[in-house]
Amino acid sequence: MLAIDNTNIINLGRGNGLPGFIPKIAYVYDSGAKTVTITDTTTYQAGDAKKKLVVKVHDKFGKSVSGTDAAAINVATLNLSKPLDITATLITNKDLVADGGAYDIAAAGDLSKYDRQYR
Amino acid sequence: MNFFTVQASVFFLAVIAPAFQDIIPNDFPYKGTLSEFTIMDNVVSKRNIINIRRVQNILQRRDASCDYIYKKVFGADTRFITTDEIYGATKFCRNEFYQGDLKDWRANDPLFGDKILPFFQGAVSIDVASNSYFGDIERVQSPTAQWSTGVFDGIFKKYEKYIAAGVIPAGQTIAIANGTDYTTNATAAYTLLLSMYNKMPVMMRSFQKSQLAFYVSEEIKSGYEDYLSSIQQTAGNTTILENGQTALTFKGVPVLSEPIWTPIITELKGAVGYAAVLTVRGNFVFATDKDYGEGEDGKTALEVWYERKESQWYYRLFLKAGTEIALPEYSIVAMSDWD
Repeated sequence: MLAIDNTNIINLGRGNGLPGFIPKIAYVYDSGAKTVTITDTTTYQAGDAKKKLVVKVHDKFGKSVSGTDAAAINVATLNLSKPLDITATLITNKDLVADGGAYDIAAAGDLSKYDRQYR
Repeated sequence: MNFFTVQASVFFLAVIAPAFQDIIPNDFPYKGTLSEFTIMDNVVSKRNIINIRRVQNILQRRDASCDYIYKKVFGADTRFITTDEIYGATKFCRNEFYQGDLKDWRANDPLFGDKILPFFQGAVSIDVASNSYFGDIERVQSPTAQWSTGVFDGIFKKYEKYIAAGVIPAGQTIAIANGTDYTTNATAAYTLLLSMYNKMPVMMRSFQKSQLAFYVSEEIKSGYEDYLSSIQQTAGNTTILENGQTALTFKGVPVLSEPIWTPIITELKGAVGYAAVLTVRGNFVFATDKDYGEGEDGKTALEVWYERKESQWYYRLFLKAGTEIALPEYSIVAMSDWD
């Protein structure tokens, strides 16, 4: 008997073992101006850099707006009566991809729980 | 509490696979050209694509020795297909999937599953289709977007990559000019198909015509149909175009329309746009993992339950998806310019 059945992952060439690629994405939520600003301080592998950071801000009522870290994301169209959620997809020039999120956001903080992979 | 759950392998058979079948069941909510995709249902994360190129040029002259030269077949470079984990989760408040579903659900009536599955079949297959063609995880979608195009990478993103990398030579690409209107200019549709046909690389001409296909926006197909009608009228040829004929060929190559292309391109572009691809049938590959699920047993692909605390229906589904083109070099791509 196998302690861990790994038959399904023998072709697993990707996953969370990407040394040197440490995503770190911070947000600031300005409830007065109704904007979310994203800052990318990710550590990239040598010779790699950010290609695109796609951010989605979701409210608790099924609506969301998309943006990037290039400009503040206007969330005025969302329902702000309950805390917002943020998800982000970070793509590098070498096609490493990291998906992360921050749920029930406060005024400022970091995204976490990154799923890193290459393609 | 009651749960309605569907195991991953059943979910694949009931929801994913039918969308890709040649003969889509009559009551299936989505009908398009997804059946033209080659489906790989065992891609846990990454797998080689089996090359569909014909094997040829393997015979050699024998000499008197016992040495043999083994020739490598299936091309020098292999392509991979990868899948991304994706999920869908929604909730309904004071809303029923159908009248009386709460009663059926509480009574564990098998009707419940039969009646709500089409709901998910429709939602999942439309999203899978829109992403399979137009998906781009780098896309920043407009808040008013009606179509899902940012969840996993689709065929047209791969085409852009292969065109940029020179795998598809510039001579096999056509830019459809802004303002082209195939509904009013039927000849333009014919001209487009003809120039695509003429741009076929010489190796592609060794295929039977029935092994190739044009995948086009609906307007290009109907424009070509109008063109055929107009030729028939002016030249007085025997009419072979019967009323209501839906199967069109161009010089023996089937012309297949994908009705969702134009609406999605129009949304992405902000103006009307079209696309057409001439390629080998089965060239588009869609990958998923029929054993992937989450939940308590790690195998659940679809869960539906009713939450009394909030009077809400919840549903959650998990799947893996990815696309690739097996032989991009055997493609002629005509596209409008969209983001």
